Amino acid sequence: MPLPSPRPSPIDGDIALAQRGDVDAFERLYRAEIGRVNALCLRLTAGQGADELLQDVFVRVWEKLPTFRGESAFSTWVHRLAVNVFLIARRGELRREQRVVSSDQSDELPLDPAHGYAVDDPDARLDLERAISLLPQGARAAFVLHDIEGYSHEEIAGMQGIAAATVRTQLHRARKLLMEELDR
Amino acid sequence: MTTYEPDPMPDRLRAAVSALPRDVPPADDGWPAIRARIESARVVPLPGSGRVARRPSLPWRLVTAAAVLVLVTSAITMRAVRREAPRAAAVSAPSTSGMLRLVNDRRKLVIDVCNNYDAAASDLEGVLRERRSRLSPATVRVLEESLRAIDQAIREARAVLEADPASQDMLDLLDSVYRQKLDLLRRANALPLRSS
Repeated sequence: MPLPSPRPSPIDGDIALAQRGDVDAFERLYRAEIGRVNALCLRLTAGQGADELLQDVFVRVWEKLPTFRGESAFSTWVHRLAVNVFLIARRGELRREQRVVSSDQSDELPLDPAHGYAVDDPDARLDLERAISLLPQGARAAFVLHDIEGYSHEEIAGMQGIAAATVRTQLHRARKLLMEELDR
Repeated sequence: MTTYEPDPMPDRLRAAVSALPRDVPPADDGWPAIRARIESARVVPLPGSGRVARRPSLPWRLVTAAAVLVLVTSAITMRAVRREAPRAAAVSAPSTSGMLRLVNDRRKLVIDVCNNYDAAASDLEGVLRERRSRLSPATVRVLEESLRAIDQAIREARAVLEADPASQDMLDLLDSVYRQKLDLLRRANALPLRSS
């Protein structure tokens, strides 16, 4: 018996509608993706400016929607776009501020968390979220993108315009700092 | 050459990572703000784009919109040049290293803005090139005229910003014109194609 041909999912219909300018369809796509993208933005930014980043991501998704061809899953495409928006914003910040982030050179986490996660929360998951938020920016990006989101060293290096060896070093530092924090 | 590989992730850390939630709902609903940004960037729709029926969709409206855009830009450009020339000269004067750094930072910001928008526009233009042969000649003509007008407005705004990178008005205008360009391209790419 021949296999039934795959039926288009509701999300496919909403993508097609949104590509034609249907904002209501885009809202449905937004609501389907928001949780995952928000988790990514919170972790990448340590909660600082995550709301603005989230807005920028979805405005960018809207602008780029006509270029989506379905070559990857829609959520994967949105996710990668979110990472790109974050990295572009970060590059702009670094250039504008022209400053050396001393905490990025340190092998100790800052003492004052103040990043939106409860310090004394007994839950282990929140402990890790909090510890991630305390990582230096480069190490945090490497850890979130590699160990949580599953990007390869080379992909992360390519997205950030840095050497893969640098990503590996940042990842090593991130894991070391996180383990120290979790052991406290 | 030896490639440095980090140690494998410790089991305890791996377990903690796997327990992290994939989805974290935001504390506040950000959709209204996103919708407002999307709506505010809209231009007059192209013929046949379907939605946004409340606005007329004749091609001449598009040409008119682009022409008005250029006129408005030109007027603002002239005004900005006249009004801000002394300030521009002052900003350009290397009186202090702090001032120079400020000017350089603003120039970098302008370049960043342009690069980001140009990259997005380039993607959309690629899609439009592929679809171009299956759009009606009249639509293509209108599109090309409109894009030329918008690009002219972008060039003028950039020229002013080159002389006076501190002009926030002009940067806002540049941002607005770029957004209109992206919106025009996006709508063009959503137009129904002629059957071959």
